[in-house]
Amino acid sequence: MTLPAGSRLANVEPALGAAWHPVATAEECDAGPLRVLLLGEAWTITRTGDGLEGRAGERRAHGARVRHGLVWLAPCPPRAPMLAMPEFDDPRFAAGPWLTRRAVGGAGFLLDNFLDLGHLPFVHQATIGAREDPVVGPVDIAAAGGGFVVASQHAFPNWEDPEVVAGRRPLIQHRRVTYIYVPPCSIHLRIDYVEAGGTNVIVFLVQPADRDHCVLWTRVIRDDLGGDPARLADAVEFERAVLEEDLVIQERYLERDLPLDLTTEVHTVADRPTIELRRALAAFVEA
Amino acid sequence: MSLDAALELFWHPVCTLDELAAAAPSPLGVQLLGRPVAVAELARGRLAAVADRCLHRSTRLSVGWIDGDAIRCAYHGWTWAADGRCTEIPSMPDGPIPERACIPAYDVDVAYGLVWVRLDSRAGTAIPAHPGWEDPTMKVVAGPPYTWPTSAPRRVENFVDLAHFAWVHDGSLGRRDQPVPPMPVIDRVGHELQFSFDPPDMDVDEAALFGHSEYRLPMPCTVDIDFTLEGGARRHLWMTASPIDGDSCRTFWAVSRDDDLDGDDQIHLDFQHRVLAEDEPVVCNQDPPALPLETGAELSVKTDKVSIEYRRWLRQLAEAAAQGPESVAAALATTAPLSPGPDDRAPLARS
Repeated sequence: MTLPAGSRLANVEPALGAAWHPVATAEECDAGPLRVLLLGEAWTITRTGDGLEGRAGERRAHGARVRHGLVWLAPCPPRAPMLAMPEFDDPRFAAGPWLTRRAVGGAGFLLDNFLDLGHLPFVHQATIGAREDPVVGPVDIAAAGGGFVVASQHAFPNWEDPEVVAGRRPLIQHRRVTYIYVPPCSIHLRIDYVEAGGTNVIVFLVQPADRDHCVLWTRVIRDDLGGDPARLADAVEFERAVLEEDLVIQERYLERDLPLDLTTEVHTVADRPTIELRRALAAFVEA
Repeated sequence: MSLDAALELFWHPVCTLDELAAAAPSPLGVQLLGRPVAVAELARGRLAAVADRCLHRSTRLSVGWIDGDAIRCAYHGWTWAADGRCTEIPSMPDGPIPERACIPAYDVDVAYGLVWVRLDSRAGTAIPAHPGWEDPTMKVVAGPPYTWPTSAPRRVENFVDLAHFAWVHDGSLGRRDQPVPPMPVIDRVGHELQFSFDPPDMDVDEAALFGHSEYRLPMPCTVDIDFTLEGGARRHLWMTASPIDGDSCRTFWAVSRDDDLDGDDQIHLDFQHRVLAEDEPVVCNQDPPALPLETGAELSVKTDKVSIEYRRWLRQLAEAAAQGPESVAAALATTAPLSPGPDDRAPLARS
């Protein structure tokens, strides 16, 4: 890494322009020209004969397109692919609506929070629960493109499993979690329940809006709810509550810009995914 | 020349004990000289003042909670002791705790119902005196702290300015038809500037602090005025301006009296609120908020004698801070009678 010592990632870092960023829902764009904030600049998105066009003043974005129900904008030629969401088009899965939340904070810290494995019993006491094991077990991390994949399997108390309530399955079960991080600001989390079966996918996208704000895009996609819209709505609401718990802390940060210099903070082996995030972001900014 | 480096060597109040108690079980997040500080009362009454930032993931520790002898970070549950050391990492119960896991910890103490913090202990400074508090014949009534968008030295200078009474406080503490203030004899005693003042004849409010006044200014940001009223009753007005950063300060203050001890406290606070309301629009519009210490930055005249001497000592402290804490201690201990300086030579001299 050749970034200067003490380097940090600001929401308005120009290098972040070389990527696809979500900026609106597809429906919003249907209503006419759309004004959005990305990387501290105001962009206007308009429909053209053969697609979408993004402009910031006289400057024309490299590309604008609709995918997975969102409008994506790439100010400059992207150096990373758009995040894949294979479950989105899989008929076995049901997708909730995109949850949108404007948040005070830095994109780097918000991504760090989503990849973090150690905060669950402390921050999510009202949702995921304080009964989660605070000890972070081993994880496998593999490079993938400019990003990485984190995989781990661990025991957890499955209070939601009806078979547990009926006494036919043990409370302590296992889940396999796989995070796919695509730089700079996209994460796909897949949770596979080993004993109970089923898969829960949570997509987490961060739109760095201006120096102090981001827009968060979250979507829940599941195959284990039996096509029941009420259960899907509950799952979406649960994810919203989890996010709000995170933001209680994230929005009170005094700092916005994630340290990319690994000596600025103290790290432990439990922090391997978020150390990797800092390395990947540093490499993305440097390139 | 930076005054901040000198101010870091002194004690400053950061909150009242009531404010600290109201924040529990979380630490109270405050700011002193631009530094975010988390203040907490830990188990068995032990106080802690540490940097308000978990070194792990930069979370504010004041969002967390007090857990026994430590502050627990709300994010990953790391605990930080009063000396700044990390004592537990829940995700790694078998350790090791990294050697680097140590955050800045500051001196902290309680006096006069306030929590005081000193960022740098190397000059051996003391918490300034509060004569009314220490006098058992006096009843002390603390006013609500207030934050103004001006630096602590500007706030203090206004508090000891004798020439503004006639203009800013016409009818409350001075008269515009008597704009010439007396020229006090100013001494350095201990670590204080001291002088006395007699106000002009005028009818004043019953609760006015008005009469022969003995001023003590423990450097750098505290003022105590000992008033002897016409009938012989004694009062103290005490204040200390705590530097939040270079452009804002929070003033903690109290009025004390040795008469009418069972009477209404509020009238004494109300009079001060009237005086503060007269000062605020003026002091909060001094530009820049920082007190200029450079010669020639503002125009001083001989009736600015108190502020000239105050600035002179601040300048000496700031210059000493560049040499090190020992030099600041020496500059603070200078008790020799004040000799005329370049600022005193002419009716129109620059400070």
